Amino acid sequence: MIAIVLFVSVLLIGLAAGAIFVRSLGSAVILLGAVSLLVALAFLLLAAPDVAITEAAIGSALTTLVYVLALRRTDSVHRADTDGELGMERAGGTAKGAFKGAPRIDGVARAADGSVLQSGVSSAGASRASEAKGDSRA
Amino acid sequence: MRKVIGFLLIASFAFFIVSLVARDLWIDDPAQVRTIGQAAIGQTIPQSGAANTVTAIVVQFRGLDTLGEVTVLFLSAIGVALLSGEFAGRGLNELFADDGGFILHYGTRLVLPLIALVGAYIVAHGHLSPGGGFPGGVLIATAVFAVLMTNVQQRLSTRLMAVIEGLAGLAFVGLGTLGLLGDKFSFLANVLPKGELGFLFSAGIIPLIYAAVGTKVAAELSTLVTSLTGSDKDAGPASVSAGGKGGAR
Repeated sequence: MIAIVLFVSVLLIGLAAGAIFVRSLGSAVILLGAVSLLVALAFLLLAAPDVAITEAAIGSALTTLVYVLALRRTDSVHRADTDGELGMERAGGTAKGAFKGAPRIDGVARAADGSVLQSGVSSAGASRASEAKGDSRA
Repeated sequence: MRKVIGFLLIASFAFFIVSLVARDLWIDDPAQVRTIGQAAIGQTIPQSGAANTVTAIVVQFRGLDTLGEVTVLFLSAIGVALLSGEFAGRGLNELFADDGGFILHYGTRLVLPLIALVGAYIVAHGHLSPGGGFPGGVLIATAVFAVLMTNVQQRLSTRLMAVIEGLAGLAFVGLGTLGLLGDKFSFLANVLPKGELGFLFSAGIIPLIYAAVGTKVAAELSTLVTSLTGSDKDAGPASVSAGGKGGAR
């Protein structure tokens, strides 16, 4: 029993560190979901089933869901003006950069690039991208 | 700077875990813990008639705080709905082409009733077993998301959800007002008959309040998930909609 609690605790701290230091936002969200599931297990082991159920439902299921959907929505702002998956491949590393927490630089670089984006649409995309980043920073 | 903040966060989290676990491992006898918890456990059954002490505390002893909690959740759901309107991108429409494929479609049909049933059970048995209105409502909202994921064309009526949510909130406040009319003259007092301990119809207004909370949470979070998955379908493909917005600016 004590060994299980200690094992879960060490795993929790490791996963939390991973969620903070990992580069990709998508991976961080999934790691946070895993942390929530393990926290629910720890609550169960510490004889708090009420909190465990709530943590498993809200922390692990709903929060992960909302984060993933929000990531997808904000990411679609940067990619909306490229032609779907094909445009993503042509943009290459910069499209991945949006997931690595640098969407503003990504948007500007791609607007300056010009080869990926059509004119007119590109400036709107870049300005919306920088707006989005400014909002989340504020 | 980012690494320093990260290490500080990890260190505080580790300190929290260690103190939590150490306290549990060192104290063998629960009677050694002299806190308000002892008084709450002793007062649960005579005052509320609920078998679950946590529920008695959440709904009766600090019922007004729970009303505030529900309000906070309501406000944050409104905030998410407002913000998600700003990012009108591709919803789920392109992620799951028609119905998400065979396995997702029929697997969801298989699991969906079970998720909804467990959610309703957790809400209805909040005063008897662990759980209650909040986790049960979240489970029901998860079932709604499963429906949205497999039937992309299916849209939830936001207006209907708003009406349900408002009625549930009114039911909470109305049940609280019932306490003002009783002999205790206090908001959210448990005036209904307590019944027999451990039965479904017991503990007075506690199961009714948890039913209202569960309905409200499920409606709120279903609306939230719907507004996050939705996209402007009428504007056609995402590239067209982005160009249109840029031109209008």
